[in-house]
Amino acid sequence: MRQEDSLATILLVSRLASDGLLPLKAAEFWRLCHHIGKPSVLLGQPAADLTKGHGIGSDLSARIVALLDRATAMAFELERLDQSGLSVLTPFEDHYPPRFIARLGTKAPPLLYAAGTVELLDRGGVGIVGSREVSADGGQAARAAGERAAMLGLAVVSGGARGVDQLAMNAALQAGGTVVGVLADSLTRTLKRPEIRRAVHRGTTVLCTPFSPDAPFSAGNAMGRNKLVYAQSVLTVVVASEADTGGTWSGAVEALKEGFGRVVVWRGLGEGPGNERLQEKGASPITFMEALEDLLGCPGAQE
Amino acid sequence: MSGAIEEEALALLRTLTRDPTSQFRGDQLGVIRRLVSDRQRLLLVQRTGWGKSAVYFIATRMLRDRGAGPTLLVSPLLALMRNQIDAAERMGVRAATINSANRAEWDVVHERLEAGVVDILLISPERLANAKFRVNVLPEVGRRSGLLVIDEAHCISDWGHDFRPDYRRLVRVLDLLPTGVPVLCCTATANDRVVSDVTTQLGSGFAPVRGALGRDGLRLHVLDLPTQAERMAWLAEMLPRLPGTGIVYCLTIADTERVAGWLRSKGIEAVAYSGDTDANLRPGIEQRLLDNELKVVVATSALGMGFDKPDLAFVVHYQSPGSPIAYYQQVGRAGRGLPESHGILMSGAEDAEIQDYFIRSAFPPADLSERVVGLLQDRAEAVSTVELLEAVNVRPSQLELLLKTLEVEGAVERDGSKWLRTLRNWAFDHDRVASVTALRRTEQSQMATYAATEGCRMQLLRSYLDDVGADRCGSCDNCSGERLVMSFEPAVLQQAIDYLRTAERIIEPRKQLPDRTRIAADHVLQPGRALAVWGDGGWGSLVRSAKQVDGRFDEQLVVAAADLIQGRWRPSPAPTWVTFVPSLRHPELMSDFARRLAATLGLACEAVLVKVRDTSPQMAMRNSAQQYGNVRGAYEIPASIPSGPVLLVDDVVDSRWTMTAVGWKLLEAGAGSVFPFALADTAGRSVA
Repeated sequence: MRQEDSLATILLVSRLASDGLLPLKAAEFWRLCHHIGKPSVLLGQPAADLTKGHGIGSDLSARIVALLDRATAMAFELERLDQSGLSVLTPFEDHYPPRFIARLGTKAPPLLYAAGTVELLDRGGVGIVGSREVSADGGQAARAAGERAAMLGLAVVSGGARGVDQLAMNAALQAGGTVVGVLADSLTRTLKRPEIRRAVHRGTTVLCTPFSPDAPFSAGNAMGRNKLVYAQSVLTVVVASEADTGGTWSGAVEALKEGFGRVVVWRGLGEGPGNERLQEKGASPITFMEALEDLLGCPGAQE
Repeated sequence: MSGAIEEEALALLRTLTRDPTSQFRGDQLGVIRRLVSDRQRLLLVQRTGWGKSAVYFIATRMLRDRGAGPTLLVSPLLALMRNQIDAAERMGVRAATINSANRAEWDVVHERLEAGVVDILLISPERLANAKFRVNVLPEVGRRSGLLVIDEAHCISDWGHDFRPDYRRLVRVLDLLPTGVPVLCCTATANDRVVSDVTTQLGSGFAPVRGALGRDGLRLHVLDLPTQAERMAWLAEMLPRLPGTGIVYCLTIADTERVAGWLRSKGIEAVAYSGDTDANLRPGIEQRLLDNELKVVVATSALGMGFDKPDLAFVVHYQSPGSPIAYYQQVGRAGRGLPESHGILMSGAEDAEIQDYFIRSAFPPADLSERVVGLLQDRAEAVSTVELLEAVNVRPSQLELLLKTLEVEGAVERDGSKWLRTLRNWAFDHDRVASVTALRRTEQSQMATYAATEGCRMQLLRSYLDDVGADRCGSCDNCSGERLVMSFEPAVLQQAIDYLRTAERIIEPRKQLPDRTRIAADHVLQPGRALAVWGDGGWGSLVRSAKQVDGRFDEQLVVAAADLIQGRWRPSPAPTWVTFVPSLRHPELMSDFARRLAATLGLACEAVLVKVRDTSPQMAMRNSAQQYGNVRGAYEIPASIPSGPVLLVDDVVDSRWTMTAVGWKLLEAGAGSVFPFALADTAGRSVA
C-alpha cells in the first residue's frame, strides 16, 4: 500500500475532491505535524479523540476528520491523475525535492503535482529567472545561461513562463540538457502541448506545481512558486529584473532576505533596470556565462 | 463482538430474511464485525449461495447508523441483484444503481446521493472509466467514505478467465486508500492460483476469509461424440429424459443459436444466451430458467458469474472449455440444492481449434500495441479512432479492446472521443503474456486428460484446482461404472445433419461506405445468402477443404446451393443470369462452380468481371477502411452485360466489401438488381 503518511498528507492539504471543505494551508499542516509527529496517526480517529488525545482544537479536529473522510473520492481522483501520468508527491515519498525541506522549512509545500522524469527533482539545478518581456540581448543571455547549465550537466530550474524562463529551458533542451519547470498555474493545460509531451517522453523534463493542476494564473501563486525555484537551485541567475516591481524583483529580494537559495545576477548586455540594485542587496554578479562553472564550484554553492 | 452489536446484526438478518429464527452461518457474523467494528479489508472466498450479499447489506446498515458514507458496490452482475436489493430495502438499506441500462435515472440517483438518501450505490466496473461518472458521481459517494465492496474480485486476476481491465483500476484505487476505510472483496472462484494472484494484487493489507470446496451429489460424465450432428442428436434424444432443467454450454455464439434452434425444432424449450443477447432480454431468460419454464438455456460463458439456481439439475458442455477452472465453475452450478445432479462433458472435434483461437486472441499482439502507442506518442495530441483504424489493420472491436487495455495499463487515455498518449512510461509486457499463454496451454491439455481419464473425474478435477488428496467421488461415470447411453435413432441423426446443412446465413447489404457516407439507393445490393459458416459443421467444412485441399467445390455444394436458392430463398425479382467474383490466385475454382450452379439453375453464366489488380485476401483485412481500400478499383467490367437481375457468386463472404464494390460496378453497368450468394460466411466466427 502507498505510504499512509503520504495519503494522510494529501487528504489534509489537497484541494482535489474538496467540495466546500477548506484544506490545511502549508503552515497549518507543518504546525500540526510538529504537534502530532506523523500525519498518519490522525487516520480513523473520531474528532473527539483528536481533541482529547492530541489536544487539537475542536474546530480543527472536525475539519481534519472531514478532510480525511473523503478518502474514497480522493483515491479515485489520485488514480485518475496517476493514469494520465501525474504524480502527487509529498515529503514522505521518494522524489519529493529534499531541498525544499532543507531550505524552506515550514514554508515547503506539503504537496507537489509532477509529470515527467521526477528523478530530476532529487538534486539541485541552475535556476534561471527573469521578466516575461525580455529584450533581444536579455533573451540571448537567458539562452546562454541555459546552454551553460546543460553543458555542466545540471538541470535548468525555471518557472516555465514566457520570456526568460522558456528561452532558457528550450536552450537547455536543445543543448541536450534537462529541465525542471516549477509552474504557478495550468499544469494540466501546459501538459497538453505537443512539444511538452514529446519532451516528457524523451525523459529530459519534469514539470511540477504546488498548486492544483488546473489552477489559473494568479500573482500570489506566482510569488509562492518563485521561492521553490530558488530552493531547488544550487544557484539562481536573475537575467533581467525590473526595479522595485514585478515578480522577478520580489522573488529575488525575498530569496536574498530569507536565504532560500544563492542569488546570482546578470551584469551584461540585456540586463534589467533592477539588476544593479539586486547586486547591491547581496546577489553575486556574473558578467559572462562561462563563469557559472566557477560560481558553482566556489564554497557555499554545494550543500 | 459485544452482545449488543451481535444482536443488532442478528435483528437485521431476520428482517432481511423475513424469518424470525434465522441464524448467521459460518463466518458471516465475524466478517460483519471485522468490517463494522475494525474497518478491515477482507478478501472473502466463498461459494455462490454462501450469503455474501446479506453480509454487505447488514454491514452497510450498521456502518450508516454509525455515520459512515454510503457503500459503493462494484459488480459486473447488477442485473442479477434485483431480488437482493428488494430484500435490503426491507431493512432500510436504500439502494441505487448506475449502469449503462438505466441512463434515464442517473440524474435522480445523483440528486438522491446529494441529499444523502442512498445507503448503497451499485455500479458496473465500466462506469469507473466514464469521465462524467468520475467527475459528477464519485465525489458525491466518496466524500464521506463508507464500505467499498468489490464483487467477483477474481476479475482482478488475468490468471483467471474473467479478467476485466476495469478491475485493474480498482486495484490501484485500493492501493491509494488509507486504512480505516472498510473494504470487502468477494469471489466464488475455486482456484488457489487465482486466489493467490488476487491476494498478491490486493496487497498485504487484505485478510482472506476462505470457505471449503466440494460438491456432493454432482455426477460427472464424459461423452465422446466428435461430430456436431451426433451431439445434437444426443441432446435431442436425451435432454427430455433428464429430470429437471439445466444449461448447455457452447464455446461460440453461433453454436448457441444453432443448438437452441435445433432443440426448439425438436420440441424442447430452449433459448440461446450469449454476449450477443440483448442486455434487456437476459434477466427474463434467467428468470424463466429459475422458474423452470425452460428446459435448457444454451449459453456461452456469458451466463455464469452470479447465476444461482440451487435446483439446476444438469450442466451439459456441448464443447469442452479450455481449462479445469472454467469447467469446474460452470459444471459446479448444477445441483447445489439437489441430492443428485449431472455434469456432462461432450468433447468435439472442433474444441481444440476454438480454444486455440481464444488463447491466440486473449492479448492484443505486441507489435500492434507498440504501433498504436508509438503512433500516439509521435502525434503527441489526441487522435480519433477513425484515424487509428486507417493507420492500423485491425477490426474496430479489436482496436477498442486494445485501447481499453492500454488505457488501463496507463499508456493511453481518453480525451473526449479521441485518444491521447499519457505521460507515463509504458512497455509491452512480454513476460506476462508468455506466462499466461503457457498456463493456458497447460490447462488445455488438462482438459484433454480429464476427458480421457479412466480414474475418478472429480478427484482429477479437484487436483487441477490445487485440492489434492480428495477421495474418489464414487459417483462419476468411472467410479460408478454407470455410463450414459451413447446411441440415438439414425433418423434423428439424419435430421441433425439436415439441420446443420440448412443453417444458411443472410448477407445484409452494406448501406454505408467506411467513411460513413451513405451508398445511394440505386447502388445498394439485395439481401443475399451464405450457404454455411466457414469451416463449421454442415457444409462449412466441405467449403474449406475445397478451397484449401481439393481445388474444386464438391458437386454436393452445387446441389445444396441450388436447393437453397430455388427452395428456401427464392430471390425476387428472380435472377436471369449468373456471374462470379474472379480470382487471380485460383482462376478456375470460382468460374467452375458458378458455371455448374448456373447450369443447375437453368441460367446462363457470364464472366463479365475482370480483376485488374491483385488484392490480399479480405480475411486478412481487419477493418472497413482497409477492406474497402483493398478491393476498390480492383475489378472492372470491360464489355456490356445482360440487363436482368443477376446472381453474384463468391466463395467466401467476410466483410461484404468485395460484394459491395463488385455489385456497385454491376449496377452501374445496367444489372437491374444484384443478389449476392456465397458458399460460406466467416463473419460468424465471433466467439463468446
